[in-house]
Amino acid sequence: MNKTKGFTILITLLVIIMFSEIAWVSSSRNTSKTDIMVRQSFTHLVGLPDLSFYISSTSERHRAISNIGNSLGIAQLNRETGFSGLVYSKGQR
Amino acid sequence: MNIKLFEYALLSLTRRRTKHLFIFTILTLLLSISLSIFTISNSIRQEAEYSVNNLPDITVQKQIGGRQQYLDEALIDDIIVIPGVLSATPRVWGYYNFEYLNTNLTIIGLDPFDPDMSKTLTKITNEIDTSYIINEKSIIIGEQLHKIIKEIYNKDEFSFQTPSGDYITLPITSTFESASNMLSTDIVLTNLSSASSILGIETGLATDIAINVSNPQELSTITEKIENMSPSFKVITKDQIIAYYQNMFDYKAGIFLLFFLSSLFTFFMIVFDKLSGLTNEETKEIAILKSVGWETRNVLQVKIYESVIIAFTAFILSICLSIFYVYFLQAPGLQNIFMGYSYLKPHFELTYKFDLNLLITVFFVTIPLYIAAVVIPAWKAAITDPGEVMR
Repeated sequence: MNKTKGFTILITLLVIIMFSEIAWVSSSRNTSKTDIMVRQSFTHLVGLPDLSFYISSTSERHRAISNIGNSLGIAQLNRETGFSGLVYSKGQR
Repeated sequence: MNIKLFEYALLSLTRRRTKHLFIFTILTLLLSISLSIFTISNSIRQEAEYSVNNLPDITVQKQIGGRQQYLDEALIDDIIVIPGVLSATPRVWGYYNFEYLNTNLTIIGLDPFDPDMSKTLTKITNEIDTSYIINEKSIIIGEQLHKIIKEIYNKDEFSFQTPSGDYITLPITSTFESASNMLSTDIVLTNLSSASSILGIETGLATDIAINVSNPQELSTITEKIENMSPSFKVITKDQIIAYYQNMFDYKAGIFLLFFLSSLFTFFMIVFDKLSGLTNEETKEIAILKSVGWETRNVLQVKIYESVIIAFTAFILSICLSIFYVYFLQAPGLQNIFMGYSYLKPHFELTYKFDLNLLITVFFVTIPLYIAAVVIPAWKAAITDPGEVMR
């Protein structure tokens, strides 16, 4: 039964480490309410979507908003296949 | 659970430790990498979702021949009278190529007479006298950009070259709070007239119009009314942007999911290949066990215990490793895949999001398959006549 005992201790240790890590990151790496408020106020003021990453073609901020679906291969100019077609169907209007 | 069989399974694993250690290491690495990728993706997605609800309800832009054009500010008068429209604000914004960093800065002009502006500016910036930006020509930029400008020019000002070739030098009044780094690193805020001069936009024209409505239920009706004003108007609602973001993140995570599934498939092929050709020694062991009275059920039980021990330990260990890699080490290498390699990259710490669905999905996609890949070849060996195997 020595092996079983050793394995139980190993698994218990791993589970304790896992929960300690989760507890630590959820207490120290959670966004505070003040930070969320700052971010929301910022977006409210500038009114632009996306994060400020510059990832060449995949950065949406560096496109015209009306071309937002382009990187997914959605032609915005065509209303039937355009991105708005995904959200508002003719029937709903 | 049969403790004696469990002990036997552990002993069996120890006996063939090299083979099992190899499988354990590969499985742990595979699970750790996939968990790390999905955790980073979730964390960045959460950052984007915090603020997306604060976007204007409707954004109107003008497109002619598939190219964006500036709008006449007078259009506001037609939009504001549409029943249900709460506010309509012309916006002046655009991109300024900062060649030194080979990056685009986003220049945004603020309306000095917007009553909301001063209050919001105070919340998002470090020590600012809001009257300064209203009366004087100045800029507010992100901390990271400020640091870079200081390093390059050793000045608290920045010179913009206008499309006509002239230079406009504006002092840096303040920087954004570091909490907004993820959103503000490439943003340059200034007043409307300065923004228009930098971007070469004539007076009376706007990049787009931001509209807020009083009742979200009327959004589609208002959208349709604006669209009917001119075929050149492109009307984008907040819902469309939010839906787009969900698609975009799913698309990015989907690419990694594809890699993950390919790696997983390869892994199970290796496992199946390694275990289906049970060695002579293993086949003989199963035959001996059966001849001394073990039933097929017992043999399978041992094999299930063996695979559960490996899979479960690898799963727990990979959760620990992925948390350590993503949150303690800040995901070196993988973070750049999501964030790009620009010089002007925001400094921030990935925020934690416990995603039980992710853990459950990864668990059920990998563990049962692994157990099946181990048990099926063992079952084949166990149903073979022991006498025949011994001969």
